[in-house]
Amino acid sequence: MEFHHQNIGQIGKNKMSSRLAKAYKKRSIQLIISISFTAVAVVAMSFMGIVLYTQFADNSKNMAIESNKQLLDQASWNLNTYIRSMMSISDTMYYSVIKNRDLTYYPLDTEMNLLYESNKDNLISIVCVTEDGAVMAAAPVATRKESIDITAKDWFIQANKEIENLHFSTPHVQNLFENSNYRYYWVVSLSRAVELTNIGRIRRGVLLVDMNFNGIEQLLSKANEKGNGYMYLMDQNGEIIYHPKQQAIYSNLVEENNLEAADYEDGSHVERFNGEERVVIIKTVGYTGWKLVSVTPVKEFAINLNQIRFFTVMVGVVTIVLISFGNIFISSKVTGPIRKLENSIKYLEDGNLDMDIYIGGTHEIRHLGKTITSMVNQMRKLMDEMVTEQQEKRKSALDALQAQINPHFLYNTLDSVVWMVESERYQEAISMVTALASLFRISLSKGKNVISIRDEIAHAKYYLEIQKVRYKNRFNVSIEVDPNIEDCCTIKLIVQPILENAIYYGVEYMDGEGEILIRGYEKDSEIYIEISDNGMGIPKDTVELLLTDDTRAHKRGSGIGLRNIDQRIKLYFKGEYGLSIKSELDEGTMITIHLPKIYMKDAKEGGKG
Amino acid sequence: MKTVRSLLFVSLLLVVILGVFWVYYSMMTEQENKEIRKVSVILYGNSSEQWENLSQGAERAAKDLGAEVSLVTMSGDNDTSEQIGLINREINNGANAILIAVCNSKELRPYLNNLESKIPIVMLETGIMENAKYKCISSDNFEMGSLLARHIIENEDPKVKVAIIYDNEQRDSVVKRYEGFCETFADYEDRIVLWKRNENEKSNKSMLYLQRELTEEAVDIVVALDNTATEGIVDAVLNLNKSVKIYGIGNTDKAVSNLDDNTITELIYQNEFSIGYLGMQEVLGAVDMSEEELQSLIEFRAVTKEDMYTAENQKMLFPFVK
Repeated sequence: MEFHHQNIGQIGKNKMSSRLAKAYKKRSIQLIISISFTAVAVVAMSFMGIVLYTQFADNSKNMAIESNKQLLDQASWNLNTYIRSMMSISDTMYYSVIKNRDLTYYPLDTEMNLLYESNKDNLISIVCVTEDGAVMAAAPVATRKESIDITAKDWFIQANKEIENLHFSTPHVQNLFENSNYRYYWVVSLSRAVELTNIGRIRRGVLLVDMNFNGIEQLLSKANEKGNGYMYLMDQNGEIIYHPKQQAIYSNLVEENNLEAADYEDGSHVERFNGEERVVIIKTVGYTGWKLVSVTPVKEFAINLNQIRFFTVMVGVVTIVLISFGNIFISSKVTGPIRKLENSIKYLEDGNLDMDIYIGGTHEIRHLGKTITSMVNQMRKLMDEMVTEQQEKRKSALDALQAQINPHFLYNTLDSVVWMVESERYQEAISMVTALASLFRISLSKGKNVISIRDEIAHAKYYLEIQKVRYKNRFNVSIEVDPNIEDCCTIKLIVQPILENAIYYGVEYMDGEGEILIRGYEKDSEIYIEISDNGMGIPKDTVELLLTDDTRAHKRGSGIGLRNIDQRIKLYFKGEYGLSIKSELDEGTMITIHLPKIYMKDAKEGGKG
Repeated sequence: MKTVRSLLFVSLLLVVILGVFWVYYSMMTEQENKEIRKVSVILYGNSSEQWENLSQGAERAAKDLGAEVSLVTMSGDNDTSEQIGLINREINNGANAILIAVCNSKELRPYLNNLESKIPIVMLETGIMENAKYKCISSDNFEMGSLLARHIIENEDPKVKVAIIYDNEQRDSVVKRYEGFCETFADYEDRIVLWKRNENEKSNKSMLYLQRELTEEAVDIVVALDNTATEGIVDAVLNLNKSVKIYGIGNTDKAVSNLDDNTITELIYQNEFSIGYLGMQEVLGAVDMSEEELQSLIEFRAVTKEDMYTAENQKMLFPFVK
C-alpha cells in the first residue's frame, strides 16, 4: 500500500516536473534568460548570505561568550579582592592581636572595635569565642542571645574540624546577638581556629568574621548589569550563595541547574536545562572554593542576531530585486533583435515575401537576418520563375486546343469546295473560299488569342455562311449583338464550336425549320453571349456531363467539346466565367457564354483577366 | 509604448525598494518602541513594610517580564471608598494591569464585578469571595487556620482556653483561616472564645481592644489570624506583661522578631514573595494556571523559635530581598 502511494506520488512529481519543463520550453527566450539568471542569482545570493550570516553568528556568539568570560573574570577578581580583604581582617586580628598577648591581661576589645569600625561597611561583626562557646570579645558590642549554643553552629564546627584553614560558610542569618529593631543580617561567616592565651595557658578558640552578605550581593548584582545572561555564585557543593533571582529560587518559583553545574570544570560548557540550551561559563573563586557561574541562554545570542538576520535578508531581497530587474533589462536588450527578427519572419509565414527582414543587433543575429533575406530573395525568384513557366505551359496548352479546330473544319470545307467545283458552281465555290479565307484570317488574328467580340461574331458569320452552303439552308440564323459590347474582348474561337454543335446535334435534321439565335448583351457589367437552337435538345444526364466529363467521345463534329471552351474561358479569365447549358428535350438548347467586360484597349495579351 | 513600459518598470522597481525599506524601518522602530507595560499594585494598609515581600516578588517578576510596577498603599486599613478611588485613579492613569489586595471582600465585590475596564486584574492574598470575576492568588488560607488548630491540639494541654481574635472579618482570607481553625478545633469548641471589637472600638487600634479583652478574660492561648491581629496581641501582651501563648499567622519582621524572643509561640508564615511573583506573572499573562494550581505553589510554614533558623526556614522568614 505504501509502495503504491509512493508510486502515485512519484508519478505526480514526474507529471509536475514534465509540465514545468514544457511550460519552461514554451516561454519566450527573454523570460527564460531572466528567470534562469535570476534563479542563479537567488541561489548564489542565498548561499553567500547563509555563509556570511553563519560566520557572523558564530563570531558574534564567540565574542559574546568571550565578553561574558571577561565579565566573569572581572567579577571573580573583585570577589577575590573582597574575600582577601576579609581574610586579611581575620589575619590581622589573629596574628597581630590574639596571638601576641595574654588575653587575661590584655583584652581584645579595643583592637577588635578598631578593626570593625574601619571595615564597618563590609562587616557585621567580629567575634572571638572560646572552645566551649563562650564569647571572649565581640565588635560591635552586643548582648548575646541566651538560648544560642555557639558550639553547635556550623562555622564553629567547621573551624575546629580543620584547624589550619579558613572556612567560609554559605549565607545565613546571623543569630548570635539580640536585636532591638527587628533587623536581621545575612552574613557569610569566615571562621578559623585560633590559639587563645589565658594566664600563660593556651587553649583553642574560634575567630569569626561575619561578612555582610550585602557586599557580595552588590558586587555581583553590579556585574550582572552588564553583558548577556546572568551570573550567580555557589559553593563547591552547588549551594547557591548569590543569584539574581535568589528569593524566587528559594520560593521554588524559578529553577537553577546549580547542583549539576557544581560538577562542571572551569571553562565554558553548553547544557540543556528546562528545555533551553544555555552556555555556562564556570570560574572558581580562590580560597573559598566558590564557583562563579555565568549563564547565557543561546536564545539570547539569537535575539541580538535577529537584527543582523533581518538586515541580511533585507539586503538579499533588495539585491535580488535589483538583479531581477537588471536581468529583465539585459535580457530584453539581448533578445530584442531576436524578437524583431522573429516578428519580421512571421509575415513570411503568411506568405508575404515582399516584407523586409530585420537586420540588426549582434553580429550573429545580423548574420541570421541576412541569410534569411537572401533565402527569401531566392525563393521569390524561384516562385516568379515558376509562375512564368506555368503561364507558358498554359499558353501552349491553349494553343494546342485552338489548333484542334482547324484540320476538321478545313477538311470538310475544302471537301465542299471540291464538290462545288466539280458541279461547276463556281460562284458559290468562290464565295465559300472567300468566306473560308476570312474565317482563317480571323482565326489566325496574327497569333493573338484575344480578339474583339465583333471579330468573333464575324468569324461565326463566316462559319455559318460556309455551313449554310454545305447544309443547303436547312436552318436559319439570326444574330443580335449589342453594338456596345462589340469592342469588348473575348478569347477567339468560342462561338464557332458551339454553332458547330448546334448544327450537328440541333438543327441538322430539321429540314429548313431549324433556328439558331446568337444574342450578345451586357448585364451587370458583364457580357453574355447566348447561342440557342430549337433542335431536339440534350437529355438531362448528358447536360450534366457536358462540362465535366473529359472522356466523352465525340461522335461527330469538330471534336472540340463544350468543356474545352469552358476550360479556355476559365483559364483566361478565371473565376466564375465560362459556359452554362440549358436544354429541354424536343424544345431546344441554349448555351450561354459568360465573359468579363473588358475593352480591347484594356486587354492584355496573355490571358490575365 | 516603449517609454511607458520602461517608466512602469522603473516605478515598480522604486516601489519595491521603498516597500522593503519601509518594512525594515517600521520593524526597527517597532523594536525600539516596544511598550513598557505598567502594572499598579494596590494594597490595603498604610505600611509598605507589611507588603515588602509581596511587592519584591511582584517587582522581580515585572523585571523579568519587562513591566513597570507602581506600588499604591492606602491611608488606612479598611476604607473601601478610598480603595475604589485608588483603583479608578490607576485605571485612569493608564495602568495596563492591576494587582490588588482588597481591604473589604464584601464591599468591593459589586464594584469589582461590575468594573467595565478591560484591563487584566488579579487579586492578591484576599479575594472577593464567591462569584469573583477575577482570579485570587493566595496561599491555602483554610489550611493555614487548620494547621494552627492542629498544632494547638498536638502541643497544648487539652484543657486550655483558646481565644480567637475575630477581627478583619471583612476579608475573605481571614474568614477562611477562621473556618479552617474552627473545623479542626471542632471537638474543643467549648473552649473557644471569640474576641470581637465592641461597637465603640471600631476605629481603635487592635492593641487597645485586645488589651481590654486580655484583662476581661483569662485565656491560655490567643490565636491571631492576620498580621494586624498578631502584632496587636503581641503589643497588648507585652504592655500588660501577661503570660499567654500566641499562635499567630503573619509575616512581618516584627512578628518574626517576636517569635525569636518567645512572645509568639508559633507563627504561620506564608511566602508572600510567591504571591507577588505569581500575581505579576498571572496578570501579565506569563502563566495560565487555575487558582488551585497557583495556590499549591505558595508555601506556608509553621515556625517556632526552635526551628526558625534552619536553612530552609530562614530563607523564607528572612527574605534576601532587603
